[in-house]
Amino acid sequence: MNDSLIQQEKMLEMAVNKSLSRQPVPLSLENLFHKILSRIAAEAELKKLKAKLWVISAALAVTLGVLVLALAASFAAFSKTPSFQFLRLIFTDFKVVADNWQDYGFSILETLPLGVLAFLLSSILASFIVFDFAARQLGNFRKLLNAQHHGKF
Amino acid sequence: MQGFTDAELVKKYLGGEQLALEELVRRYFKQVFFFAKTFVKQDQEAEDITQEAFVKAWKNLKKFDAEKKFKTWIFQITKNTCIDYLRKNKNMLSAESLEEQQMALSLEQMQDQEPLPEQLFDSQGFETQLEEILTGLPQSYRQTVTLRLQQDLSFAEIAEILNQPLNTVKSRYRRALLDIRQRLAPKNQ
Amino acid sequence: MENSNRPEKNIDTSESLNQAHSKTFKWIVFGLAQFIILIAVFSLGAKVGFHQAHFTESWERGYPANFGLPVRHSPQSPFLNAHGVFGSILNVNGNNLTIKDSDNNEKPVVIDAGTSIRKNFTDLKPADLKVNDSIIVIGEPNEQGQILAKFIRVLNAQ
Repeated sequence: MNDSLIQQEKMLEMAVNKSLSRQPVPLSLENLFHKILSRIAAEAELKKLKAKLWVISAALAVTLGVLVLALAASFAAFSKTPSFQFLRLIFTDFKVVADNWQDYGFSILETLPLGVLAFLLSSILASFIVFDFAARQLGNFRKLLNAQHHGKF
Repeated sequence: MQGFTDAELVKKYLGGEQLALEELVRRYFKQVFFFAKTFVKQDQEAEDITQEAFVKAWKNLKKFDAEKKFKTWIFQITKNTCIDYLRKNKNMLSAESLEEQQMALSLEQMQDQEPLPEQLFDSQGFETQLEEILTGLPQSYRQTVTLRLQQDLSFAEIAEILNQPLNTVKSRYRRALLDIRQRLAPKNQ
Repeated sequence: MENSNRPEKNIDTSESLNQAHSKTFKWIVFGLAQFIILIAVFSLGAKVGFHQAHFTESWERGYPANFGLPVRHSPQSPFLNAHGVFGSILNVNGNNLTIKDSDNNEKPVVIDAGTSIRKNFTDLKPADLKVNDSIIVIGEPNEQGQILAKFIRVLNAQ
């Protein structure tokens, strides 16, 4: 009796296994493999971007700091040099400035704090570059996040 | 890539070979899908869970213990992902355990079983009937039977995947087979 | 039939050639423009530097005559600004002023008939200028190390 029950159990297991193997395979399963790989690739990209974002944040912070420093230094330098006083004349005595444009031009050029100005313009240029780069990376980051959320349950 | 073991493929991928990961996914994505289907009804849900499970596996690939089986590991991840999904979607897991308890009770009250007639296995409509019975099994019984018979896992591996005691898994499997037998039995038995 | 294909091929080739030429041409023009700007800026810088150096030398040479001292004197800064002064009046002697600029250099400024002097919206005469007045001067340097003032603006006392 027990032997036949054991044998029958084996037959039942085989029948169940056969039934489970006959489960319908959905058509979309063929794409699932590629979807999984695409998803992993997107996650890898997101991971790289997250690391980049730290660097970008640090670069932004440094750039902003340098820009503020440059602005403060420029303000201090301009207020010390006569160039600020000469520049005022454009608003107060434009006709005189226009009549003596060569001498006026030279007086400005002679007194410009060139070092500080170069520092300020370089900081502004660096800020533009870093902000532009940061904006593009943030755009990529948001696109990837959106794609991730649409795929997520 | 097909000649390498799972552990070797993991090592290769961590060493920078992308194709190793592709081979791993190719080997198990269908099995993971069908395992996820034992938790959820919709194919789309099972697909989402499968994707999520592989992403989690990829994220934790460095922590994979080469001494263990990759299959067991990915199935564990799939199970946890399914549970998270069901909790998020507020599916009633507890209803399943109630069904399981009722079935256990009815099986205990059964009288000793006689063997099924052999011609039953070859009869017309047997396959359809068996399919219906399997679909109607409580989720945990269906999972155990699927993992044992379709995925060809040992009871120990099933216990590890489902995070259940070994004896619970064995008794669940036995009860599942008993229940199937009871439902298959002709009415006069 | 064959001939009808050839003109199209020629158009394609010539279009791509044109594009290549256009790109190269743009780069050449861009490069030349950059070079011209660089040369222009450098020339301007050199000119400004020359004016400053020349005026500084004139100022040193003219120091005994301008300030009544027997010896030459070196300025406080390496180069003096030649076309403008911002500072306070140290001395008024008719049409000759001595200005102390922001670098503590003393600069002689000469007023002539063509010099325009203003304070706020009012025109002033040379005699209205006083010691310690803060002024801005725009002018032209001469060989005696002086600045011939074209325009003087007197600032309000701060």
